[in-house]
Amino acid sequence: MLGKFLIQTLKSGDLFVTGLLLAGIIGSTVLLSTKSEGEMGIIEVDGKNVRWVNLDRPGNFPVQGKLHPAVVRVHSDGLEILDNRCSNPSFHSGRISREGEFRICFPNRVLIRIAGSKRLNSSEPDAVSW
Amino acid sequence: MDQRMAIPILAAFAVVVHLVELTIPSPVPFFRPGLANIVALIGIVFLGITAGLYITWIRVIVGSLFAGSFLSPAFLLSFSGGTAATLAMGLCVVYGKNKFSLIGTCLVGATVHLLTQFLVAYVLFLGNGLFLFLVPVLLLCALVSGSLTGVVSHLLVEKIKHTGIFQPALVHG
Repeated sequence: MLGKFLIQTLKSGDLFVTGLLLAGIIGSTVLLSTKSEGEMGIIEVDGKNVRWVNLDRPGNFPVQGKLHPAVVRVHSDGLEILDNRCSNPSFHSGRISREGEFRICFPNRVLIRIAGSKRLNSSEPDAVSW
Repeated sequence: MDQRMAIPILAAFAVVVHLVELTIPSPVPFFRPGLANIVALIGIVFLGITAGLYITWIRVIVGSLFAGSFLSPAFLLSFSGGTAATLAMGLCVVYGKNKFSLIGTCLVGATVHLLTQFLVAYVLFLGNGLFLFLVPVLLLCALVSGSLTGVVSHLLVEKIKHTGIFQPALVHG
């Protein structure tokens, strides 16, 4: 019944748009799925890098966001923002560990992302801020 | 029904649907099923693109006032996405009715809505390309939500046509 409904209703433009969407989904998934586990995390506030963190060294890093302080926590399996005042929980919660992944708290302009496999030398500090 | 009566009534429906939709948890940032766009599409089909825009704008503004997010980043994203989607759907209905059914129109609307929100978030809030990693998920959401809202829109429009609520000369779809 659904098949008959679709056959009677769908037109050429519908199939074209559906095909474009499927191609976009598959293409972008293939292009973006080649990222590996990262070793460095970057903390940004309002678009500016404020800190690099080594993901091999768990700890808490306080960050001054645009509106209020927040904490970025490094776990053994990833990085996350701890900010229960963030009004977009679906976008800022959860841990990230793969290159290219990110989390952001929009109102407070705090963003964390995984940078790739650059490793700091052991003689250097394990977090740099500027 | 007179257009001056129809637009506020449809806008009120859209606001209610929008507020109900806000209570549905979203697994993906920005994503909503877009059920309120069904009402805008009905407005476009029976009353024209301008009516669809009025319905969308009233829905977004009044909905954000009720939700306490007026002029917030979420409001800007909703306003821009809703406007772009309504325009895109309007173009499909008015100029592409031989090529697009309402299902395809809703697919176009859902895709334009999400991609516009992407662009606005990039320009206004972040300025880096990290959102690209959300593209596959959002395109999938556009495909699913556009298909569902398209089927619902098609069925509703057919029903409304048979009731004769709107004057035949105004029926575009």
